[in-house]
Amino acid sequence: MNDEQEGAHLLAGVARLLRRASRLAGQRPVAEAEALVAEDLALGAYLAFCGVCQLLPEGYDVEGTEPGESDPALLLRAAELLLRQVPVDDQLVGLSKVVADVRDLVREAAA
Amino acid sequence: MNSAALGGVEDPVLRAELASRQSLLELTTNADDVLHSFSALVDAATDLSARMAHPSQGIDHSMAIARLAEMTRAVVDLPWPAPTQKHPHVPAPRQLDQAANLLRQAACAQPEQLSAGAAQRVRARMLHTVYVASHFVEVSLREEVRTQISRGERQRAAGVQALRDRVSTIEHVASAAVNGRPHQWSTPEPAMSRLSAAFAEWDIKAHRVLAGSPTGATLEAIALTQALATRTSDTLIGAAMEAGHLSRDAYQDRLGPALRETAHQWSALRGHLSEFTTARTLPPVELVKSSQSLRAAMRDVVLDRGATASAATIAARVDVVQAAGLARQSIGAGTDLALMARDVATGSHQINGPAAVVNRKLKEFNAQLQPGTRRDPLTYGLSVRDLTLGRDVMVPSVLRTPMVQSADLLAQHSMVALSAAAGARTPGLPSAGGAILAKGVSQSLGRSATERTLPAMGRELGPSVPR
Repeated sequence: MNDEQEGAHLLAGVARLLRRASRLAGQRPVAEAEALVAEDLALGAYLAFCGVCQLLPEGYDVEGTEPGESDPALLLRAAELLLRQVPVDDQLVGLSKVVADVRDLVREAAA
Repeated sequence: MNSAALGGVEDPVLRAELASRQSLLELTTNADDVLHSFSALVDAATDLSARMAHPSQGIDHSMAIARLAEMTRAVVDLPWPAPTQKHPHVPAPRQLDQAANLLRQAACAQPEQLSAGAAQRVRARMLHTVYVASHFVEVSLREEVRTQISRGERQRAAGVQALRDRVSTIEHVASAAVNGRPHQWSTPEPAMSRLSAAFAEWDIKAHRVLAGSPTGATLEAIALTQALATRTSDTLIGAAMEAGHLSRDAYQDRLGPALRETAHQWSALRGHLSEFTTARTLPPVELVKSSQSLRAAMRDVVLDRGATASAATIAARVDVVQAAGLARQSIGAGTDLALMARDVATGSHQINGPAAVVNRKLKEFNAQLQPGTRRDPLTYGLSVRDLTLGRDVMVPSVLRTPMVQSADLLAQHSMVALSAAAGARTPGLPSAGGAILAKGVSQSLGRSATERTLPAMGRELGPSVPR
């Protein structure tokens, strides 16, 4: 696997983690007072998922084994750790924003 | 190329980049410290970039870094009217300081010996580091503004907000540079006008894509955004009620519960859709961008450090009368979107899903059927090729039933919320519901809101919505 393929493979993993975090954040039963925060996290993770998918080569299949974890905060943390392994270079336009967005989500989910 | 130089430069630059990422988990609210640390980081990046022998190729990273350094110096050198207050319990932004030290260390490791390719790589990583750090500074200043507003220190808050606006521009310049596109100058807008513009843009974009050829992914993105927008409307109107601008009875008995039920149904619809959506069909980029802008604008007003902002905090950020008026307008637009979403879910629009998921769900569905029951013809429509090639196939109508039911409930609750918003009219606030109910607004599908069928409205609603 060359660097480009490995980068795409890692990003696909990040995308799956973000998508699952979004789904779980939006579906977990929460108290009414926390619903706004949960909806915000669900949307934030989904938008980050879209951002990651846009970095992948045209036609790249993201689908794969769904992560088993069921805590959105841990899924986001895992996505952030995986994202660290994606090399930053000027070929991957848009990665910096994804990095900042995922970091923000990790911090907010932990709050 | 000297391999010792390569490792000596690239390794600390890599660690500096990780340190800047780490900073985003350790927010600091001493604006002075944060800005000076950021300035030191950008200076260190400029110095390292200048020491590399090979000029930038393609995206001019060195020019971008130098420009960001100039902009940062201009902010740091401002004669501030003492906008910030030192908080002794808040640590200095050590990750940013560490990143700056690492870049200085790299500058001492013979960066002039790097090859053109390595120099390009190092500069790209440094620019990314500066961008992430600028985002950290912007978030830190935003938190400081919030802290000062919550303490009633409005003058100080205004001073830090002015700084935040300057840093926000630096972040935009850095963002444009890492993405290799020219920066478009724009003046930072106050929270209220930003929210208003974001709602208007979202309304247009969401209507446009729903009226076009909506996919499951498009509907999912709209449902997620609308769930948050509806909760935000509820929070804004609740803040207006707390401030005495709206009848407590009208909100607590009817409008509030109807809005929360509508948000819940948007979320439920999203849940059903997400079972079938894949990354193969993403929502349009324009829609995603508009959703991002709306989310950012809403967060600025209704969230406070990972929790819903109190009514007092919201009132300190925006004019609650205006905000509630905006929320009521968005209820009108949201109702129209709900009706369109129902049309998509119940109509002939093709919603696809992965063959494996459709197959599994059909098996589950068939297992529940009584012997001799006629099965959906599409039960047998899946081919082995669909499954082995992992294709997306049409979701058969039997599997769309929960989606359709959810969309029906959404439409019903939205109409109740719209009606409640119209009924809870207060002098000075624009009415969202009245005008829409009277005229109908859905030009995009050629049918007005009042022409749509509303089966069982008021009879099959959930228990939280008053009849």
